[in-house]
Amino acid sequence: MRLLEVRDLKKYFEFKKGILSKPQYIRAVDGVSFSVDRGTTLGVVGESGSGKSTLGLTILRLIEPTSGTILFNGRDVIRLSEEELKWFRRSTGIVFQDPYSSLNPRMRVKEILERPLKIHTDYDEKTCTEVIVKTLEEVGLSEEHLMRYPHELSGGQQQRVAIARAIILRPLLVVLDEPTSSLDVSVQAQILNLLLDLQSKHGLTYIFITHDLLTARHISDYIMVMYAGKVVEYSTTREIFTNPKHPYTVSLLSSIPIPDPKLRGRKRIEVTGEPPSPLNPPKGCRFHPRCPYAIETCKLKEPELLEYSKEHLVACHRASELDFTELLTDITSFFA
Amino acid sequence: MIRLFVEKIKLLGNNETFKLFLTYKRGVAGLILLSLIVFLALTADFITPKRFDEIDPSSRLLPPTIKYIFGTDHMGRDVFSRVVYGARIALWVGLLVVLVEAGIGVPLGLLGGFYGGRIDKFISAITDLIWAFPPIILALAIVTILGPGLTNVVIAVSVISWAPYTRVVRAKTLSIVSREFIIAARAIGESSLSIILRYILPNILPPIIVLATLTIPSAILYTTALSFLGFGAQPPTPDWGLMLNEGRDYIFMAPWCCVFPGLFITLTALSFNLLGDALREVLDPKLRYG
Amino acid sequence: MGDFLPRTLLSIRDLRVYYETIRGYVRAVDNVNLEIYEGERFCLIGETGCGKSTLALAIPRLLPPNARILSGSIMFKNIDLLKLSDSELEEIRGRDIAVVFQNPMRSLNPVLRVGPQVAEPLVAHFKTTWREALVSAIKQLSRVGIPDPELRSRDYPHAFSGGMKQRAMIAMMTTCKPSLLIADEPTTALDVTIQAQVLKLIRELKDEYGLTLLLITHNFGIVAEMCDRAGVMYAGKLVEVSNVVDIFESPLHPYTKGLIECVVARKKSKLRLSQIPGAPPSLINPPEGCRFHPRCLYANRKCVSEEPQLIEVSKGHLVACHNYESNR
Repeated sequence: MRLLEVRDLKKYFEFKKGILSKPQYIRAVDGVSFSVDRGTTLGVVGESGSGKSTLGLTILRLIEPTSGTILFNGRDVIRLSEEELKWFRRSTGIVFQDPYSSLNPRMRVKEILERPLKIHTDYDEKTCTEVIVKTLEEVGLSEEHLMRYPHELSGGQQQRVAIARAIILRPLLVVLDEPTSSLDVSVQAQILNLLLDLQSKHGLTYIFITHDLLTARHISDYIMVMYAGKVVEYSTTREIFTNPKHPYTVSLLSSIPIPDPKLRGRKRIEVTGEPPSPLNPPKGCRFHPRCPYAIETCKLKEPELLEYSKEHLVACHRASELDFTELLTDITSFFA
Repeated sequence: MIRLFVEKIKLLGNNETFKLFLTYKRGVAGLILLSLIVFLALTADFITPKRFDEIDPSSRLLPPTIKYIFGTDHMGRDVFSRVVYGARIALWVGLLVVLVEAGIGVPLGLLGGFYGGRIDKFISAITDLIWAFPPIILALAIVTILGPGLTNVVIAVSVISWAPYTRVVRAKTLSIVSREFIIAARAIGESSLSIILRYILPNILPPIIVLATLTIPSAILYTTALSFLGFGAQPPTPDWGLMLNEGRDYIFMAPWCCVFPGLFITLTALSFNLLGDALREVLDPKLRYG
Repeated sequence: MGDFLPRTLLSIRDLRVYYETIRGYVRAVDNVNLEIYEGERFCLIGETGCGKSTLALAIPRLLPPNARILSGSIMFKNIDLLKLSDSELEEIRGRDIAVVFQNPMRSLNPVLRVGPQVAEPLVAHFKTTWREALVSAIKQLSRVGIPDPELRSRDYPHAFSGGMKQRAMIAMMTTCKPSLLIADEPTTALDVTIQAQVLKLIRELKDEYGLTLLLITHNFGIVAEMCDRAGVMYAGKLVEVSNVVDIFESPLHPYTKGLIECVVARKKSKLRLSQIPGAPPSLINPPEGCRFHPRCLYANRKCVSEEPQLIEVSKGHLVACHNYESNR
């Protein structure tokens, strides 16, 4: 059952250099379309400038979209009435990368978790506290943390509070923007396990935004790769790792440091250059300046996101000709 | 009631911030000095030998003696009693001014910083305009229009000095408004008003407190200046500025009429400055690492 | 290869570095012994607060003002670095020992152009003229992969992207061809594709200049790709040292084992990862005995009371654990 459908979503930021100069636009999200089924996790992967974080905020209308459609449970998110917006807020949640910045330093844990309840329900004090304690226990904390301030908690604990806040009203969709990137390795594992548990327990739908393909692989059912504001590839996790079709996806796979010393000398594709400026992306395919497989068409015409096979979409002119399996044999065996 | 108070003091003693504050010797000195002045103000009725307006023509312009510790002024009034009652006025006026200034400046800063755009531009423009005026002249203009008296002085001084509050609050609000906990607040459905009051204001309180502490001395100085010029308190009010004015004619034969009120003006301003400086350092890094 | 014994470049003995804070002494590096051999690539691994950065930055003495080096020696080419004066150490920094940070703006001055900054170490240490040094600097910028180096050398740091700033910093630090390059999380703030480029650059420079690399990281992927030997730190102590393959395939210390198993890539999708229960201890008041014992599944009475020493249990493999035998 489709929970979220996004069509040709665009978010441009206006950038004025001076009072008299023409306004320029940062095309953070430039025509993104996808859908997410209930109970699944979509991993959105990209580097800086890919637009992935902006996408997350725009879907939840925490940033107003420039154009496009967002359908949540069938309803048009952009045209919600005030009451519907309140329902939308209740049905969605967000978790950020830096747990400390996402919590009000002057509120105790109890207050932080009370706010959603006070805004959306009419629970009395007693019920509120009960619900809060129950949620705390679900995320691996306890009553003793109620009266603490964020700075009195560790990074992992802070993130758990942020997660508790996002799920306390049993939302349908949770957007997670790099929720484990700031945490230590051992804590990352704990939080990822927690997220998986909560998902199966409450039937949550996740949009998991990250730059780390390996983490995305672990938690996602589907992966969407973004580059310079556009979607370049979308498929099931398995397919992305065993049969990627876009050179950028392959370069990401090539570039990730793999925790196995035996794979050190493996074959890779070398990617030169840097992600493009969002003010002035390259003409044609935005990846062409860095792509070892670029041809003339790539410089002139922007590729469309087309279906390569069932549940596998690629935006590359050469998708049908290029085959990367040989290049990736070393890593696919690691991921098998 | 008393138990609650004692508990708070004990908490304060264990409180890390307080302990840190105690290491700032100048701040502690300021606090002690201020406490003394407040003490004087509070206990004025008990420790003054004479009333502040008790005239005694036979004891005019007497130098400091055991009976009149600070001497007497040109109307035979005990300078010490007048200075002590003056403390009440100075502190009271200072407090009032700060409340009004903050009452105007803080909400304006919050609105400008939070909403941005045209509202912000408008508020900033007005703030800059008022701030650009030479303050004393503007204050004089206001008291001339409104007439003399302490209330009008409070209004005048508040008007000329709310700009720093707006500036600081606006800057701090801007720095917070894009932080993730504000976005998170919107994500859970908080209204704008709620965000301003629950999320922004509590986080910018420390700089406001520091600013308040540091503007009290200038408020006191402005009000005493206006009183000195004759616009503020009227006789026989024991306002320090007024005392300076009245003692001006006798400055060579009876300097104590000016010296003591002047000294107390300085000490009061100094105590707030020392306290404020220390507070600024103690409260700020906590914000940073906390 | 025969009995080729590598020469020791750096020998750290009994090093203790504490930070003075209002709450007490933070025992960031607590009695650490470590040898780094010439020409090797050594990784110091650990999570936040384990002391790895403090240990690495104690070598060139680039620690924050509240750090106190309480004891120990750091022998570098037969000189005890800890006994050197500030000016003597300044000569060694940049010329023999170079440091690359996570944030390139720690080394790059925002108000100076890049070219002179890269040239400066040459002038300072080898007394070349500025003109010669600038020529070398431009060559170095080109070597680290900055396009149009002559043009870019006249830019200020803010005109450089993150990856390019990092390269510029590497250029600056390697102009004098130092013997030891310390890299403290050099790529953590960079995008994955840029990270791969920078790591490749570091590998190439290491081979080209024959320098010794001390890399600090918390990313096991980087450890696997970049290093020959690795040391794991926990709560201010070195708990295991070995060649990189053994760290991954046969770790002996329970913390190392736990950490390796946490690493995301190694498990199949959507299955639960192993986790290490609890959290790292306070360094102001660390646990008695083995610092890891409160979180260790194998802890026994000895672990609670007696601190395990770092001992060599097989060739090149050191571990600080009372129960390493049963961990095999």
